[in-house]
Amino acid sequence: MARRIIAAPSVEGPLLVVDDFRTHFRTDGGTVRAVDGVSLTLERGRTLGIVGESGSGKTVLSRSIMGLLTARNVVRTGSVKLNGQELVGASNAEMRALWGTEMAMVFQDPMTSLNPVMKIGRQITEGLRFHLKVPKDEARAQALSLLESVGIPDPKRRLDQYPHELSGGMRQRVTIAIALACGPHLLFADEPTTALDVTVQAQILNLLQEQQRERYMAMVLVTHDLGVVAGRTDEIAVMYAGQIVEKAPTSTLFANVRMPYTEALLKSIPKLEQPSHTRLQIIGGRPPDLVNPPHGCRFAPRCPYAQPKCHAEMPPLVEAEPPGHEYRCWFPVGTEAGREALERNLAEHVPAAEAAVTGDSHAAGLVDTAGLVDTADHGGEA
Amino acid sequence: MSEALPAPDVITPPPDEAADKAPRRKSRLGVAGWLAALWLLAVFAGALLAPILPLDDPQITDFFVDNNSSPGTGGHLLGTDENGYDIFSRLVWGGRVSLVVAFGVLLLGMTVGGLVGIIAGYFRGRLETLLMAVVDIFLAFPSLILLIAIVAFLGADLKNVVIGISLVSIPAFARIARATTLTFSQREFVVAARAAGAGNGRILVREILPNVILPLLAFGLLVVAIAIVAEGSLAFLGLTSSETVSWGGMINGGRRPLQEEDIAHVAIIPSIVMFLTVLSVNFLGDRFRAAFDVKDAAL
Amino acid sequence: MQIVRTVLERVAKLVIVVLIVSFLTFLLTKLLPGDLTATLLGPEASNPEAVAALEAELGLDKPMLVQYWDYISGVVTDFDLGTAYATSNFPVKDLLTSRLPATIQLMLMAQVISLAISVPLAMLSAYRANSLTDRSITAGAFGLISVPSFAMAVFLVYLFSLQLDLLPALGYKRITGPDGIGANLRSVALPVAVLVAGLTAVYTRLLRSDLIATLQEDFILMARSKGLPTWHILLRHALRPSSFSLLTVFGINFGSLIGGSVILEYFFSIPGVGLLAVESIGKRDYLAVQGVVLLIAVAFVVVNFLVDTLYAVLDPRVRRAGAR
Repeated sequence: MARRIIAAPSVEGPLLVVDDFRTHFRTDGGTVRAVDGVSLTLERGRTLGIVGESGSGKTVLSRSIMGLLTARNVVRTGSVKLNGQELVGASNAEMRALWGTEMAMVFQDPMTSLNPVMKIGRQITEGLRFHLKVPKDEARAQALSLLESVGIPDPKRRLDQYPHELSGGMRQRVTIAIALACGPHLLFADEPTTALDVTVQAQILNLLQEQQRERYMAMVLVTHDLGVVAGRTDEIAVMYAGQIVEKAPTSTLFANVRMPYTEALLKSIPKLEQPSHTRLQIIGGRPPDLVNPPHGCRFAPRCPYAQPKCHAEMPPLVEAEPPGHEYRCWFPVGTEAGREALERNLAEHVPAAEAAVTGDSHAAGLVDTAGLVDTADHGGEA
Repeated sequence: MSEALPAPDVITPPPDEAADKAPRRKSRLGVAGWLAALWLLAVFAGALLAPILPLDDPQITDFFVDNNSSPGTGGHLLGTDENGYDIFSRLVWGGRVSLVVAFGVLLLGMTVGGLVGIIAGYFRGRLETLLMAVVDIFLAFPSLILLIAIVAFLGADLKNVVIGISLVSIPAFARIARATTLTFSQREFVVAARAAGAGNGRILVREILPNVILPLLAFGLLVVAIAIVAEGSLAFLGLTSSETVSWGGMINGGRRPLQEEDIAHVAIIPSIVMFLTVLSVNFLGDRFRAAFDVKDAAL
Repeated sequence: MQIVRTVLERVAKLVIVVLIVSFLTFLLTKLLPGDLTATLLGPEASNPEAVAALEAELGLDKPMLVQYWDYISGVVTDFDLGTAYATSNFPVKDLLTSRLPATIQLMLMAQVISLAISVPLAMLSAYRANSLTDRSITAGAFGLISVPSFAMAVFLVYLFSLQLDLLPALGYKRITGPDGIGANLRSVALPVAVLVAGLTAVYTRLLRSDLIATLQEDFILMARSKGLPTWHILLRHALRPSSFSLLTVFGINFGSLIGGSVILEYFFSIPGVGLLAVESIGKRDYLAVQGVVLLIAVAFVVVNFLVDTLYAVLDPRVRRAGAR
């Protein structure tokens, strides 16, 4: 049975409070504003999903909150408070005391996040022996029960094996065991299933949820896949170009989407009800340059609803009627203003708008296939 | 797929619209690079122009000053050596030997070694195994001893020294050429050429060769540095002809004054010159190599 | 058993390499101009009968392959490497054993000290990549690599013998000699220092670049996220996967240092194996030359074998591959 490590909350209030948090990288080409003003809170035992495409800043966000980015050209501003303790500007020693014990991370690719030349057992007991000063034998026993609790069969043999001797799904279970070893209160899962087979993905997500419930842990689930967070999170934050563009309790988000980007994300998920050979809906264009982001709304260049105001002014995060639902848009989906904006765009044959309405991105000219060569063998198909 | 994460120190800026521009080659040499180039130019020029420069004869004893006299005495800029020869003049003349060795190695060693490597890397199979086995055996030989043996066999004049050093450098060139050829022959443009009907010869000359030559040349500079040291070692051991003036020989000549008479400059001055030359060649070779991003083959 | 078979295969390959190297040396010495018999006979060399008699006595009249076979069988059966006729008439084996201690001492001391210095230096350099510390260390290593060994020897003698008068400028004192271990250490200090300078530079560069690559890996980030201290991560997580290039070159150097410290043995008048090789080549004492080369080839090949085995110990993934 897994040992339950439940610590009494040391302060009242949310576990994690992030306020106007920014993470910039100073490079030769300019300052890359990977995270540009993010605020969120997370209570104990709750799950937050952070969703965004590549380049949205979601991975940088989670690693920066944890304080794992120590390159010389990183600048973090704003506030991140864990249990009331300020993390931005904390010393390395202070952070090391928190890593593993208070917060931990599960990484995307278990093949590369495990040390290939170190036995699995060692990789689990390391943290126990360092942080909790557990003696060797007891640490081993704890490692054994951890492996059991993450669902690894024949754990005793596995302790002395190396990562390459396990399958992908098992390796990820091991990384989860390692992350949970010292009983953290906050777990970051950064694309935990992206590198795994589809059949294994659900198992791992279930495992994470189960562990979270048992340990009363808060969890941040970072992913590009809306399907992963549906039904597994309490709240979802959608990120785009370094900012949060919509944040809502999960059911509200799916039912009552406001931000056009979120709507586009939802639409791009292929659905069973659609007839076969339906072309996938894409969001035309590319994410903006993070060194010189556009002045106004950062999604405006690709947005079906975009109006001149959107290009000129950055919309602030505002609350919708049901509290707890924030979004960042001048002409939100499902409102009068939004509908009018879309009609205006359709009248002017704006490609993004046409694609959004017809569902056919190709016809709208949003898919650029010039220069692509089809080298696959289609087995006789045209 | 998660987005690219910043490396510990530098992150690459996100792709911009004109992503199909050719990557900017870092061609800055820096202060050190220019100094190195300048030094080499000076040595090179001195070596070429030695016969017409107003230098003392490097092999005539000056009877007006003591042997091993310090720099500045009797009009000798850097003093005289154990035979009373003018050191400065010998330094300049000694550069000729290093120059000849450098070119010789590039010409002979790189050509032969490169050919062997390219053939091995392109045709693969039994031929490759055989060629590389021979190369590996020669690499197993302690090269200095092999060199000494070759020079002893052929006779100790400059031509043979160059041949010997080139021979010993062939295995290293062969390995690099093979490794580079391997990477290139898998690339699409070779497959494309073959698909268009090009024969092996044509592919080798038109596609492979131009691509392999540059990294090979970059590596060649590093080998030149080693070659200069090798020649110096031979001269130091007294195994080259006493007719040729060589830095290594000068250092050897300075041994007795150094170890027995406490006189340093005869040995130290040529040592410094040799060090600066080798350093400059190494430095430029390293820059050149970095520009082509050639991986070091484990030699 | 699969492992036994792999090992035997490897050993067989090594033996073949040694044989080929030895045979090639044999051929090479036969091609050297200058006649052994002429040297030995002196003025009598013009007498054909004397020459024939000597040739028969030395076994030089037999066909090449037979000569070689006699030689090799002698080596394998009772380590008889022949006699160094041209130089001292000592058995080659004895010559080698008398010269080995000095060379081995230089080699061992240089390798161990270099490793001890370069590992922490490389770790420091890699951890603080691109900082001033790192750039100085890298520049220093680059500079040291560029110094030819005899030039370095000159500098060191100038500094320590002439100016500071701390160490002898040449000569070798045996450990078991009358002046004891102190004198021995003082007599090898400078040549070892020259070797260490070159080796440390190479090892530091190698290890540093591999460490830098390893430190970018995800599992290092994971180790950090566990809150482990930096020295622990460097030592226990980063070092092992980064040590392969270093190990390879380290191993190769054991082979090449046996013959390769020729310059230093010559400069400092240290009676070692390399110097023996040079002297013997000069005197056309082909048996001595063959003996030295054989020794070096065997050493080289054995060390390579050990290094390969060490790979398997260090990296469990290799074990799996090798056992197939």
